[in-house]
Amino acid sequence: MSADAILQQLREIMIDVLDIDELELTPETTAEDVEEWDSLSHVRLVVAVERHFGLKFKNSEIEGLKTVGDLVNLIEARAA
Amino acid sequence: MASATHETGLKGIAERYPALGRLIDAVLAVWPEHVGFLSKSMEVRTDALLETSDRMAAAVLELAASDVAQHARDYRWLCDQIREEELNFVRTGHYRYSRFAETNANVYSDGDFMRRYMHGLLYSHVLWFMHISSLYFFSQRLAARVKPGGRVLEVGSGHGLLLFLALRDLGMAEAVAWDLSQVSLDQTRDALARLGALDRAKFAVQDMHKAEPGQDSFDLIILSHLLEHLEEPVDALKRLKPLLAKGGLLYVNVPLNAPMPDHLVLLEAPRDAEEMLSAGGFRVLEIGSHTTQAVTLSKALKQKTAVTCSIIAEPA
Repeated sequence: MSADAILQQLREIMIDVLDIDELELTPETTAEDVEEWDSLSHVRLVVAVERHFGLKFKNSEIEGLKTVGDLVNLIEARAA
Repeated sequence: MASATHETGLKGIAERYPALGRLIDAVLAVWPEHVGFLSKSMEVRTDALLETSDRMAAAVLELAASDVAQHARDYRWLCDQIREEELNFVRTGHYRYSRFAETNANVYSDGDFMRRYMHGLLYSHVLWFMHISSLYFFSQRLAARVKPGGRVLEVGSGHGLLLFLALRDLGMAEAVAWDLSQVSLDQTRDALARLGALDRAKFAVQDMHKAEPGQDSFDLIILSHLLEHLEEPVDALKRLKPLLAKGGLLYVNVPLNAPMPDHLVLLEAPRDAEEMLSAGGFRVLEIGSHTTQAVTLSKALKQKTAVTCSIIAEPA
């Protein structure tokens, strides 16, 4: 799956989990850029991503995520 | 940019509420990335809630004494522990443990873990919206129902903050603390001494499951963040019911969807808490639901984020 395709699917997941109508997502996007993306919703977001892509992240991998691009890269690497 | 906005907002709060400002500064000194959470937690508070926050921050700082920075580090550590529990909870739909033997072996018997855990929880009373909102509910709603001058019992009184408020704000004449652990009782005694409320307090090592009808009588019994730690919460309620004096009230704080390392009983909606009290022989008079970061209750229940239910009940 390409990085663009993962990004598109992440956008759909985030709109659903964060309960928002619209979201502009780029690899550079961080939690600071999205008001609803806080420490509480982050856990639900991570688990929703795990379920969607059939993965389970390690705690160290989750803690290392700084940008959406990091998450895309992690999914890409783990799904390969 | 967002961080700068948060810092400006918190600075304004610190100017109006100095004790609250000191507490926030102590936490941000060891955890600057927490600024967004704290900013959100403060901006949703009314002036009355901010005044309560400031008064409780003064009490909390008094209890932390010369160890304010270490308590701040332990608060951060606590939040890390909770994040792991949340991850497990969202993945599985269950709390990690369901038996007291498990929490006893993995949590309560670990002295260092418990020390840091209690330190972290102390700050959470002020910094988490749902906790300060429940303290406000306690003082405001019970003041409307409890006559001054009576006796109050708290089982598992921890930092002693509710007993302190019962004596100071509700005007109760005597406070009694029960706990299974002498170490915990000593902590409550130290806390009430620091807060200047020791002269009207008594302490007893007592298993509430072994309380006998007629052994004592109270006008108010407090079970705050206790029932979720028990294997048999309904049995505990039945045991305590005969200890209420005529016209006496039960006050309960119990969380919904709140994965903590030592929580056993998972309640998912306010009606679950009401049903538990009803099974224990009580009629709910009033219930307040305090959500994480003041989101709407329907959103908190849908997203399964933590809620504290504050309940005032009478014997059915």
